[in-house]
Amino acid sequence: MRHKAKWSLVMSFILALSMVLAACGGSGSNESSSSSSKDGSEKLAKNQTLTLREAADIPTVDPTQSTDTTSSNVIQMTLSGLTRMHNQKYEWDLAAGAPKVSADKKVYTFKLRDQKWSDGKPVTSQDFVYGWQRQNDPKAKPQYNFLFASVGVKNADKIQNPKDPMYGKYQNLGVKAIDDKTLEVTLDRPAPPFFYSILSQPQFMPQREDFIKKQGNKYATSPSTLLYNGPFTLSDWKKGTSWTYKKNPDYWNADTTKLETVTFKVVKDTSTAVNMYKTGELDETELSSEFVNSLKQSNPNEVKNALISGTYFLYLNQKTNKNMKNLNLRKAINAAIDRNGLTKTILNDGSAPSNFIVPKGFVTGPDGKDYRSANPNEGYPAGDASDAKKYWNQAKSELGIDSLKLTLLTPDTGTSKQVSAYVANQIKKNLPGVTVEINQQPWASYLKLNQSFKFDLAFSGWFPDYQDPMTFLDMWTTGHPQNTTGWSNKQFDSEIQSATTGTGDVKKRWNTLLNAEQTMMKQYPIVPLFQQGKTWAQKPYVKGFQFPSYGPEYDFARAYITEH
Amino acid sequence: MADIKVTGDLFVPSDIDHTLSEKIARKSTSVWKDAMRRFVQNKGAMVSMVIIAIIVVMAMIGSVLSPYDIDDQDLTRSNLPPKISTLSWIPLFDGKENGVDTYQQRGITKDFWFGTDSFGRDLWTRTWQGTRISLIIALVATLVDVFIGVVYGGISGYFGGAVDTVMQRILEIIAGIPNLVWIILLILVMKPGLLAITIAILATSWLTMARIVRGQVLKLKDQEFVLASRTLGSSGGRIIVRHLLPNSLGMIIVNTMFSIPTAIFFEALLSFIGLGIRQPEASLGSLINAGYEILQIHPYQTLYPGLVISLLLICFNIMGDGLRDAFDPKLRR
Amino acid sequence: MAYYILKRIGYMLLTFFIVITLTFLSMKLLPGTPFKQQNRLTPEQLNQLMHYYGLDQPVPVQYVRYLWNFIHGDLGGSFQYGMQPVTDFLWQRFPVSLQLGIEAMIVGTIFGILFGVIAGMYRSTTLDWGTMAFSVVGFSIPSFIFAAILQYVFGVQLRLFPVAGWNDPWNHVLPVISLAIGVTAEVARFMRTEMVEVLSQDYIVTAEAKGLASSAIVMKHGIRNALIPIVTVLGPLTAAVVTGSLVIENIFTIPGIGTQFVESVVTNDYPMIMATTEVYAGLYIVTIFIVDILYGVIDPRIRVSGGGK
Repeated sequence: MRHKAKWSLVMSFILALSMVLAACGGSGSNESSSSSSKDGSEKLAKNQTLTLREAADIPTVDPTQSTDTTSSNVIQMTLSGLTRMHNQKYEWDLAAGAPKVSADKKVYTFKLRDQKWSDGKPVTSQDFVYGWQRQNDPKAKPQYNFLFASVGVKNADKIQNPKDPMYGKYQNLGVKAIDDKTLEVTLDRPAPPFFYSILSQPQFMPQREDFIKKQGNKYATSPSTLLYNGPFTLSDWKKGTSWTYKKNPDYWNADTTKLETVTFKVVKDTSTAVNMYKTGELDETELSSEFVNSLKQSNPNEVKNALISGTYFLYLNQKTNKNMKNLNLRKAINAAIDRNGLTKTILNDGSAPSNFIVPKGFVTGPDGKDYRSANPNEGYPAGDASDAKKYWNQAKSELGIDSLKLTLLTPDTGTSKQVSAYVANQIKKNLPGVTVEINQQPWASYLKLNQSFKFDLAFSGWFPDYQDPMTFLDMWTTGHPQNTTGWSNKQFDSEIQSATTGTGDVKKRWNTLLNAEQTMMKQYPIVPLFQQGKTWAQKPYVKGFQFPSYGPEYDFARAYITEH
Repeated sequence: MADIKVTGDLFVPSDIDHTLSEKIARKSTSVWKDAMRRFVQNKGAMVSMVIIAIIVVMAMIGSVLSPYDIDDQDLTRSNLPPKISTLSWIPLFDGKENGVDTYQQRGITKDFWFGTDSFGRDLWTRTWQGTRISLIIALVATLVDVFIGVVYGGISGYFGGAVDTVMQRILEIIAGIPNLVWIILLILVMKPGLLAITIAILATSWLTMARIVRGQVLKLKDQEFVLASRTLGSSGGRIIVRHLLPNSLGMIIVNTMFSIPTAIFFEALLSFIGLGIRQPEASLGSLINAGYEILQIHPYQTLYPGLVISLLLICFNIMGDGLRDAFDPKLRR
Repeated sequence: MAYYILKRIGYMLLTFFIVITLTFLSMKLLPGTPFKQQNRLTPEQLNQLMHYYGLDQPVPVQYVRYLWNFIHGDLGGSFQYGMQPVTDFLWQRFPVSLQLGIEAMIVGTIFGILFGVIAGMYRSTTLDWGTMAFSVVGFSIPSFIFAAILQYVFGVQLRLFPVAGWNDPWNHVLPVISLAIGVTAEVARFMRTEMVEVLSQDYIVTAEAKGLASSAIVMKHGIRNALIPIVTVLGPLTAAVVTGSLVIENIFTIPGIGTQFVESVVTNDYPMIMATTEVYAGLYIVTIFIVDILYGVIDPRIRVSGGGK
């Protein structure tokens, strides 16, 4: 499946995708840290140690190389940027409060707090300038710097475009150090609503020029070749086995950090992790579908689940497959799949059936309401199995065919295999005369076949890059590299265009984005399947531990252990 | 006791028939018959052969005995434990898991002899279809490996000299790479699938065969009967086909017997690490792999494919041992 | 002898060179870039990144550079792990695999010799039959099936041993047993044959005639002479242990080369696949070399005929 960037490791065998909606899920995740220890009902345990599980090692801790959830998580726990995501909201971190905004809403002047790097030197606005420029310096080989262009930092799109004369000239980026503690950010257009939240991402972290130059190739390869200025420091990193954080007492907001030690153990198999959880070697583990029922029986109060903001769907190739251009055929395929069976029995991890593009509980509008409560909550269902047959019969007479052979392209990883086996069978079963052959491919080959339109149906998923409906919608515009359906709609294109440029009027932009989804789903260019859920087991004495829908994957910055 | 006087006329000269000295009193036994006799006497080998025969038959007809096909999904009957109503007094077939009768709970009246998987697919069908795939891979890989091995080993051994040296060096280099590494590289390049697995297994298994055939040919080609044949003007091809191969056949058969379980093993291993047969098809390895992930919860899903593959491997090895003993009693262990 | 060793070293290097070339070429045949998020990049940006990593150069150039770096101990950066040098991973993981392999070999060989000697001494008894039955089963059934059974019975059900991990000595028990069963079976079969042969030799009969205690005969003459040829099975056994450890490490979550290899195969981390392949091949080639030399020392005829195993 194809996700946007950093969230995309999902597809790999790494199970640890996720961001969880703190709001849904009864996860015990909404305690805020301030109320936690002071309300007196809970006593803190002496030993503030938390042990968590991750399915694979940290890919990288270099902010310019980070593209996945695990790496981002490490960076967000050990480094501080201008803002920090907590409880679904951004908080001012190293920015000492809201910036001064120019009249045209294009220039933002941030004042920095006093904070030291782990080697004792102060964090300055020059560190931010260097960090941001390094993200836009092709020689540093950045892989996820398009966020600068998404948010509209001045000249970022030109600097990142090899065809532009300004390519690689990162000095032209709209970021400037007025003095040691004052940072000025200039944008190409008024800031979009997600400007402050995106500043919490690894790509916007400060970096230390002298240190990076001194370390050279060794930079970010071990705990000792890194600098920290966040709530935690990385104290130990046994590659392939575990990594350990220690509380950073020099963090400006260290009072909110209760945990002294946090260890992540690398355990690939869920079954192994479950055993370790049961014997107390782990305080938390994510569960795969098979283990959800079994743990609900053995440890009923410890199983939690929540929806996270990733969606999965099928691409329908309308470019090279002539039949797919038929709306009734697309509706028939949409109606043929029983999404309830898929989420309840096959996935069984809290995932929810989806007939929509923008996930539930991901982003709220200017009115404070969720995107999905404004647009149909259940999405745009095409019907059930009998509707599917009806559409299929219409499609058959319109196309003059009575049978159809389809290939379903899918990456060769855990969940994808399961889902595609089910989806292929559903289509075969409910549309008589249709046969579906599964073409399972390694990720790289999958991408190649997908981008060259060598498929009929392709299973894919999408996770957000920033907290805005646009991250799920702009990819469906005509000719967008991620739009491998070949679908094209002028009205949709103009709606997205107006929302991209019209960042000045927040309310109008929001309504345009609501309309865009409706415009798109009238035509069923894709088959939405489900919104990703996450189910995990967590010991009752672990409090304040979060899986936010947007922000660090595991937010333990203000978690604590009660006496037990 | 009366004295008996032995006189010359008590003896009559015998009529010497010189042809009789050449007569074979007992029925003549060829090497083949002799081997067969020894093999049949080997109880272990015979039992193994019967078990293999049963498994082969089940692989052919097993899936027909069940009304479900290999991709017959129905989520209402997912993860059912095995149940055979007439045998329900055996705990393994009572349809209960952790004391709960899952069938009753979900109101399912049909029996699933080996249970079902998470998609509600019948594991009886899938196990025997999987066995069929595993056997086909093993069989094809082995047959081709015999062919390549015999040709390569035969040529190398018969011609000797520079040809032999070059061919042996090539063989040695291929053998210097651990076969699993070799197999995985090939599969990665060819994309996993039935054909890729077969070719990858084949790519390493012919080495042993080639070595054995070469050894046999080297040993045989200087023996008198070959020399005699050559003196009488036989061509190289004729000598190989008429003399060298038939006399190596015993060793070839024995080695073939050992190649089959090796191929089954590698197929299972590849499937186990996720490079094997693709959904919705199944092989024994892919079934074990799928079942292994939920071994703790539904152990029965691993049990039957695991049992079948274990039986196959043990029986083929015992049969191989039996054949080797039969063809070469000196090697008897 | 010196010539023989030199020749073997030559073959060893040649084989290893071919392995490197083969892995390099097969990786070049596969699609993929180090950039997991490549679909988020424009083709121009992707080309630029490829250029900075030198991946846009002609294959022969890349090959020569790969060899050059290889000689200098640089095996490239991992695609999966943000281009961190793969050698860092190998150094962490190789000792673990080596330890697992050696432990399994030692345990397996000791028990194999024990079983083989017992079976050989008490030939054609129930003891012999039982040992050989165990040996056939142990030889036939793949180690991952044993591993699954042991893990399920002793780890999950009885909770006698940890289910996974490697840090604690208790962690070693189940994986080492799973791997050692195959070795035991093979060595036991081999040892029994040797024992039977040695015990029927004239010098044993002489010793018996001299009235030596049978235990002394077995210890002094039998085992000692039967042991020497064990060297010959070391090669195939190493191969079996390497193959087995690949899966065993994954089952018991042991942070060795095997886990790394399977992970890199699953994630298409080509530099890591190449490096782990080369480590496996190197290990195997060196073992074969040592076995050949040992065998040459034991049996001088081998040197003359120049054959391997």
